[in-house]
Amino acid sequence: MDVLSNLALGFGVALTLKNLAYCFLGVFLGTLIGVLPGIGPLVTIAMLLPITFGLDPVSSLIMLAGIFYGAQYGGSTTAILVNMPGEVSSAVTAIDGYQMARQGRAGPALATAAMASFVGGILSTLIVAFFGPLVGRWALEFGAAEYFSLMLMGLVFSAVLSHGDLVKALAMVVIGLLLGIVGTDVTSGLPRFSFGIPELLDGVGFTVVAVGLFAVSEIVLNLARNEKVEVFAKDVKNLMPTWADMKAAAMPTLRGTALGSFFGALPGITASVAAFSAYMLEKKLAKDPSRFGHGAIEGVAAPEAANNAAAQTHFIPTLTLGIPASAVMALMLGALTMQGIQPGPQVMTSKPELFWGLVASMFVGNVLLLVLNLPLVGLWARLTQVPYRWLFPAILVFACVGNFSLNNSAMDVYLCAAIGVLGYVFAKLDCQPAPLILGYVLGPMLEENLRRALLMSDGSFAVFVTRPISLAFLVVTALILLAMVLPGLRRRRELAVEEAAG
Amino acid sequence: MNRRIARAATAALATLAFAIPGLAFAQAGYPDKPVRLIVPFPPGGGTDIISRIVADKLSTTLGWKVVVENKAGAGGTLGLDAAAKSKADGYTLVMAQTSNLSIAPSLMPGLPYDPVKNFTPVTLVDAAPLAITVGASSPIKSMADLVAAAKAAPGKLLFASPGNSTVAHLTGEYFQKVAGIKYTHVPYKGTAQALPDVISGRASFYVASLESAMPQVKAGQLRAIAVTSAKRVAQWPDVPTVAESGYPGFEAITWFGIAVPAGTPDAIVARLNAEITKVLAMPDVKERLGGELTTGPAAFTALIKSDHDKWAGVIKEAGIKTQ
Repeated sequence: MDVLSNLALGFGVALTLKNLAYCFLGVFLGTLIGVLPGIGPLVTIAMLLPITFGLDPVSSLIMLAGIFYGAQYGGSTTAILVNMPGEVSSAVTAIDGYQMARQGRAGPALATAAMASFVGGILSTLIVAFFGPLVGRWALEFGAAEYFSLMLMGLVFSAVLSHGDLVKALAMVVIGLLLGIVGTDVTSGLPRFSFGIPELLDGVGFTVVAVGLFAVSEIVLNLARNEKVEVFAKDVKNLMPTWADMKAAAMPTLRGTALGSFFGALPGITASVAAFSAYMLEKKLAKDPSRFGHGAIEGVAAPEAANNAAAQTHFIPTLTLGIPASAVMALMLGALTMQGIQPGPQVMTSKPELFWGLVASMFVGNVLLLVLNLPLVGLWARLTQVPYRWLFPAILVFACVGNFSLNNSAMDVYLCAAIGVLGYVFAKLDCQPAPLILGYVLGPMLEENLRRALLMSDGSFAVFVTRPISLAFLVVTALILLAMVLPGLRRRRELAVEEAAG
Repeated sequence: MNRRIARAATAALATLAFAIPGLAFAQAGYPDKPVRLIVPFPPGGGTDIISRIVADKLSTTLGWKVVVENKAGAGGTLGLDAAAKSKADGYTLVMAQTSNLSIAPSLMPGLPYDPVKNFTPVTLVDAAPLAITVGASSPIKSMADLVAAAKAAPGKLLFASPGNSTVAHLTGEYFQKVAGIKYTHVPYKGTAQALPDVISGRASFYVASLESAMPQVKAGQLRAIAVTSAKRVAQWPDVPTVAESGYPGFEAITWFGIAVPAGTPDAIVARLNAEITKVLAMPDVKERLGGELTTGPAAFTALIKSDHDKWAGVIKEAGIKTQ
């Protein structure tokens, strides 16, 4: 078989001592920066870019890719341990992961995250290897109408995400939408809510919002609480998940992988959307959805599998179409360009050792990450016993460095602090930050694609139902709505009947 | 790393001592600390790549320590503003380009810097035409086809661009005016978003930098129907220019050039110009950058001015506003 011989070629490249070393370096660095809130793969790869000049293209690509997906592993660590997602895509892992840690199950949570990431990573790399070009061509079918309907489905689905007060969750989604609108409008080119501040013309950055909302506000919250109360991880004896845990996590991991692989292959959709969707799906499918938000292991396994799967399939549009699926991918293509390689669809055929070497290295890298992360679980779990007076200043420093270095802009640090204050207020009002992030991510995409679809169809809404993929999403959205509304109606009717009877 | 710095330092000393004693004397010891090259766009993009090629060559051949600092935001104006407000001592350079120096003044009334008063141009380093492309299965095969299609259905053709008020957008508007036709502008957030729609034919045609369209054209997913430079480009000898397609005089390019804050000593500007010109003449750099450039400060200044007038006219006529 063709793919197998290509993979053999790839492993030949990836398993040389030199490339193994670069792969290890990449995933190790990735894990490390993944753990730190604020410092993400984007900043790291940007900083390492000049160094890769001296390497040969395959090695540099293997290392940079390792940083990218390695960060997806590391991101869950701080999310679980201290409720501060190291990467934006692990924000959703924090919801149940942190609760597990509070119940003294930090070890199983971390191990589950690592194993789910591993499964997600390996399976989706298989997809990249066997179906890459096919999936790539299919992703081309996604235009503005398809994206709009997909986003709409996501936003409707997000009502499921909330635990607690539905009205508060909706309010948070709206605040997220507003936050996402800040900056220059893509369609008209006009600035919105930028108040004449040039730094706001590009909007409020993703990292700025996530770090402010999760890390900074969490630190402030903890300062307000009594430190003793929060040292919950005294018992870190059982590090590995039990057999029952594994069984509970198995299907969510597979479903998360499938969702993650799907979203990752679409240019312009981030790993965080994949993680959110996987979480929402699990909550919807669960027999007892009320466990979510209180330490459900599925709530850790599914999003972690999804974000890592998305990280791997993200390479599909990048490598098979030459279309970078995200800022990090653009950076990697930039690295190739600087090496004198014209990135694009022809790279696969003209430089097979590059494409297949990278794919093979993703298998190797995921194995390395598992080997690296499982033994670290014990070490990380003990991190929760580090007094917060040491831990928090360190995290805050990293958060500032990360925010500053994205654009070399002090404004981002101030903004992050301001959003931290906002996050504190939200927490005091018992409002969940996750719906806000979702609104912030999906809102602008929803709007942009709606307006572009209508611009291209000359104002006709028919475009959403005449295009089959778009129609399919809309039908599913309608079904979800129906499924959400019906039980509620029935319950209300039963209640009414009871009341009438009583 | 340390060894590299040491080697760099030795090379620097050698250069200063022997290579060009006259100039070294004029600005004794320049540069004796790292030189910062502000790139007003994020790492990995076109401007960044060009900047790093130049910075890398200056560092390796002269032993200078040229540090690329990405200061992105507000379409590059943040980076330019930071450079304008830096010390004019020769240790801050900025990679400026068409949109920041020639277009921004007509678009942004509140622009915090004056492209002419606040900067001293050092040299142009790259000039790239734009490419007009269509999806591989599009019936449009030439500019004549494009114009005919637009005339047959005014306003129905969809013109994709990588963003509002980019050079690509303005070029599309400019052509609309020159050819007397009407199409609908569909702005995207960068090339990556636009490409799927153009490749699949959902958008009728696409105007963007040659560099960004090249891989897709090579792979047969896009077809180039014209380039916007005055002459055909070496990479695509078969692709005609817009000018020779029946619109003589039509020219639209994006250029990139290094500038320093106004007030930088003339001797340093001359030194920078001399060294960068040398870098640009190296065969491996020539392969990547260039076009037909005149590299003197005077030519650069003239280009800033003439492009300013050209784009100001287009912006006014198309009624483009950003505030």
